[in-house]
Amino acid sequence: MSHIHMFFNFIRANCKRLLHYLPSMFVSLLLLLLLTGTAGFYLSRHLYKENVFSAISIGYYLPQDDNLDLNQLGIGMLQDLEGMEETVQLVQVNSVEEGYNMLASHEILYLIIVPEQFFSGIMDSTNVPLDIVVYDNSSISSYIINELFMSYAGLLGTAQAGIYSGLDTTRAHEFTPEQIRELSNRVNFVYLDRVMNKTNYMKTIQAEDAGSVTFTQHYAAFAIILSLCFLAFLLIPYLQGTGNGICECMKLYHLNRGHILAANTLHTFLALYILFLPCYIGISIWMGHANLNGLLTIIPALLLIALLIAGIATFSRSTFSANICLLFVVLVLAYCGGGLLPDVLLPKVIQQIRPYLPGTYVMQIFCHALY
Amino acid sequence: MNRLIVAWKRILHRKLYWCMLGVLLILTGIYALLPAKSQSTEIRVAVYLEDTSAYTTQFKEELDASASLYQFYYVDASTDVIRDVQAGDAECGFVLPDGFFSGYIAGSGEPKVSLYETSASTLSSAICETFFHYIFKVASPQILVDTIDDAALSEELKSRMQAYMNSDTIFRMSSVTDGAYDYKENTYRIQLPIYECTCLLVLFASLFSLMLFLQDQERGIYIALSGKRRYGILCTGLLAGILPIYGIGMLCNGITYGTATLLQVTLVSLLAYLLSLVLSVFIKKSRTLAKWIPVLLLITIVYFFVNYIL
Repeated sequence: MSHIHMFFNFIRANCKRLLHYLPSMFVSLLLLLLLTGTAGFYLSRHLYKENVFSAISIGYYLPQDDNLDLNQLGIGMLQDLEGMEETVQLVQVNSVEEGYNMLASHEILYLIIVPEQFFSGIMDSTNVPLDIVVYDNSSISSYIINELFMSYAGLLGTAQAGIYSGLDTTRAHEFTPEQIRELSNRVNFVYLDRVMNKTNYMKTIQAEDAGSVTFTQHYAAFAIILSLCFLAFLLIPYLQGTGNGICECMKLYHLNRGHILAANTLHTFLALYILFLPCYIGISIWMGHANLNGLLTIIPALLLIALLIAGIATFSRSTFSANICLLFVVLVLAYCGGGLLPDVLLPKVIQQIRPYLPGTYVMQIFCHALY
Repeated sequence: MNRLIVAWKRILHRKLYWCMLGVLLILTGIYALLPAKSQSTEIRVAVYLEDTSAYTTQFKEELDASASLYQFYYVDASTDVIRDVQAGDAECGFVLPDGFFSGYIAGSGEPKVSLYETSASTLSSAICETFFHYIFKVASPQILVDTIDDAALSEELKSRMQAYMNSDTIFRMSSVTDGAYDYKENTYRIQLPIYECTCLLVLFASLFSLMLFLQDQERGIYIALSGKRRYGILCTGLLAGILPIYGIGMLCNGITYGTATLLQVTLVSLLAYLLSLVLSVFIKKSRTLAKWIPVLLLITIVYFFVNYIL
């Protein structure tokens, strides 16, 4: 029997053995996917910690003048602005003294004292000055709120400039009072729309869900990679049982460890490919479309994983050392390759060496094949 | 006591065991030697201007000239905005699409500005107000002209509006902050997972000791001993495996976190000891344990990793 014939016999025999291992591998894959998938999903949703900045309390005093409705309307409009809703909590005080007491006890950061005729003054361009008192004007919070107020003052001032210049121009060109009123109302309405309806001109996108793949998709792909890699805990005894058992016999036919490695890589690849298929189908159902090219483009990544598992299994002395070695190598490659954490969140040093590591390409190939 | 010393001698002959002790000491050394880093609280905002109209140039000039608290900086692609926001280099990011200003002035709402944020971007809505203030400032003269809809008046409207914007007639606000805040620096120490490593290595050491005991048993070393004495040897072996890691781990945790994690490390060590004793009842072969050790370690790593990240 030639050594080539013997080599193919060896492969055929191992393929038959592999069939017996498959059911337990499917169960193990399912359990591993459950573990890594749950951890990945949880991570993808909680990767960013909430910032320490929270809503700041600001007190305001409204004068008891005959423009109460207008004052309430003005404050209501201020409260409706998105930036105010999420950054500030407005608290009405009944008197200026009460406001100062709340400032002193740090219950509020700012106190806005609205003067009489303030909101009506905005309409008729008298612009009565507004007093804003702050107990600490050097903290980051006071700067943020100051910035917010400066923006609102800027918006209001710009809108006033537009409305006044519209009125001046139409009056200078002898428009009728009705026409002037109608144009002024229209300008008011359009400016209000542009300032208040920000959501009409802006869309908010969660950065985690932007990019080529979302964080959830990233972790789903990574859970599959990790589960396939850690199936090696089942594959290694199978691969070592064959390699060590008939190693001496194979030497008679001039077959060495290199041949065993080749055969082991082939079997591992076959096992991984078969186990990849249900993952691929699952992801295709989840995504609502199947990337058929993925079944071909995944081959290099699975070959790389198979080579790693088969190499460790063939050249390590015991199952224990092979398992521990694989656990360590896979976790290091997974971390540096941008699997455990998306690459943007890795330390700068790791980001620099990342393009030279196989883990990076395995991750990219999986994402490309699955999505 | 003699039995414990013998068990120690055996386990300390293993290179793997020294590696584990080394990992803990190296991590603590790195932590102790590295200087504390500074982290600026500068609030950076990434901006990508795809729109190429004259309004965009004016908008950029306004943004550059502003004395805003936020540091707006420009990038070359929308992917850079996403990347910087994801990485936490920017608090949030804006992409101004091509043709945005025409849509904004006309009020069609298409195309829209994209605001990229993460769940950590709690200031994005406040930053958005500043960003939109400049958009409105640039677009408002043309909005006025289009609303009045009289071509003969457009130049006059624009010049009058400019005059108003430069005057004190319109509403203005003086800054209430006095410049004392100059992007305070926060110092922090690099966080290394020393507590997590200690717990993981304690678990591994106890399982490793159990495996050594099972291997000895398979070789028939304890065949002449009674069950009780065999159990005694197992307990001593586990203790010998855990104690050095526990001792070094307590020292490393003490240096790193003070007394905050010492109790947890002790509890985890006790749990690891008990787990190994329980496993010894069910697992009689070292080969079976060799298969289970990586799975147990994997579960522990996943648990501690998720805990560490969050």
